[in-house]
Amino acid sequence: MNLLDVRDIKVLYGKAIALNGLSIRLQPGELVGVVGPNGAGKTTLLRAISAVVPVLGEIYYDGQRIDTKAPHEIIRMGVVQCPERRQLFTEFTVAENLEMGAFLRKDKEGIRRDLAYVYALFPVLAERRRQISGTLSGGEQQMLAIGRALLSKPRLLMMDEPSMGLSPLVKKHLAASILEIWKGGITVLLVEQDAHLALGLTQRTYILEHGKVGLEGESQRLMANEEVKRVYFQLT
Amino acid sequence: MTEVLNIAVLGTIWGALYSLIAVGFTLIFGVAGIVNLAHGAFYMLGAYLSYAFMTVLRLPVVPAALLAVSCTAVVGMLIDRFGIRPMRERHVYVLIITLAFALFFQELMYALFGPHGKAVGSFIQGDMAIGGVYVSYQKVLCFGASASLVTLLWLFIKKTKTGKSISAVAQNRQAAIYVGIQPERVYLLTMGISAALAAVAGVFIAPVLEAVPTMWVFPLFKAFAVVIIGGLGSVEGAIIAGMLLGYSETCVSILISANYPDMVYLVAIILVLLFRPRGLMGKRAH
Repeated sequence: MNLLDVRDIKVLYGKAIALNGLSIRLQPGELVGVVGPNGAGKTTLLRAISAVVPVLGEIYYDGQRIDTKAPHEIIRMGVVQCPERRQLFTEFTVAENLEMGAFLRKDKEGIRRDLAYVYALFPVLAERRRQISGTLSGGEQQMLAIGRALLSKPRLLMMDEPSMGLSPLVKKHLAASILEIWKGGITVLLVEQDAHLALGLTQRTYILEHGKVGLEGESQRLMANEEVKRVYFQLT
Repeated sequence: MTEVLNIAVLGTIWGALYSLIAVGFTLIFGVAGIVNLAHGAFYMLGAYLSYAFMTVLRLPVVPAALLAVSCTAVVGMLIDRFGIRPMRERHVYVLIITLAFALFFQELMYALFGPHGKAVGSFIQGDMAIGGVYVSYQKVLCFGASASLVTLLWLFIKKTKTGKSISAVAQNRQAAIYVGIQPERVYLLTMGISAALAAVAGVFIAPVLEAVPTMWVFPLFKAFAVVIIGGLGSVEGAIIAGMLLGYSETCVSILISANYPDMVYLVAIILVLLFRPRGLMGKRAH
């Protein structure tokens, strides 16, 4: 059964059509990428799944319809988003940001375990746990944003452009962390403007164009696709 | 020497009261972006309701006070839920609707209790001497309540999960949604807390100043001043600025003339806006 099944959804911002009949599917345990030019609807897709924008159409998670649910209910079911531009609580410390990630949870033991996992995954966060998060570097802030999302106990983790604004070296480190999280058993939906990073990392990729899926397939094959090469790699 | 002691004692009492009034005002602004012109009306409701519960229902002073504060908190939450929520994003609308509520409660109190001041019973009679300065027990009690409630609020926001969720929404509403916080709930709770704190100030100060239908204006102006001086949305700033205002007003009142203390906050507002528009503890322009 599909873990996530987005069926022919539309999202409108006023009169502008952001998503126009978009469908994607994820199997449990997959690592799937979503790429596409600015304005193709990548972020809107994640916002629709998280129910922070009104959606026309149906979205199913683990067999249950979720597009009619509230954002906090969806998070409680295990669909967690690490949003675009990190969106940290910049006046809170690193530790407080992580603590807020566990806002909906009551299982103290599980929270402690996940906190230890995040600190092991990103040791720099453990070193800086008392530091105000607004003063972290871009890469550290991204680690914190991912860590916070992990503390919400995701089964499906959606990341929106985690590599934005990071240096090539930090990107490489980030990619390794994403792989490690995925190997830990979390299904990952990775939205990226860096097509190279996304195609290199994921099993399958959806390429969005004008609010719908333009191309989809195994990431390796897409990388060899002439059209994809022309659009995404020759120009960069 | 007597003057210094007088300023220290009375300044502390008034300063704590200003802080108590202003923390709620700054909190709801910082969290929900609401400039709540009905904030003074909550203070007025605290005073009038405790008066009504004591005289009409013949309740003893403590239950009357507790009931008055709870009722005001509920009124605040109802205003948020039904008056503000439908139009929350429209700031001008929120200004107008909260002003309308303030005027409505003014007229309601006028209709129910008349235009003249109502003497509200003290919690406790008598005076005490603090280093040679005579102060009524009521004022001392008012200080105790203000100081402990402001401290409790601060601890609540800094230390508890629910309190931190208030702070989280104030910092980044989108991020709060992505960790599962429901901002509308936080707004409702914050409005309830804010109204309750203003009501406590009204309950405790009513026996000192008596209850009149226009009494909502004074705390609103003071809250504005404190929040502008302390920095919009900053609880710490409101506490510091509230105390500063208390001391400086008492200073002027004792050393210069009892006619001028209100000049202090007006001058302070102008100076702050000219030289440090973000206030003492303000972080960023919204």
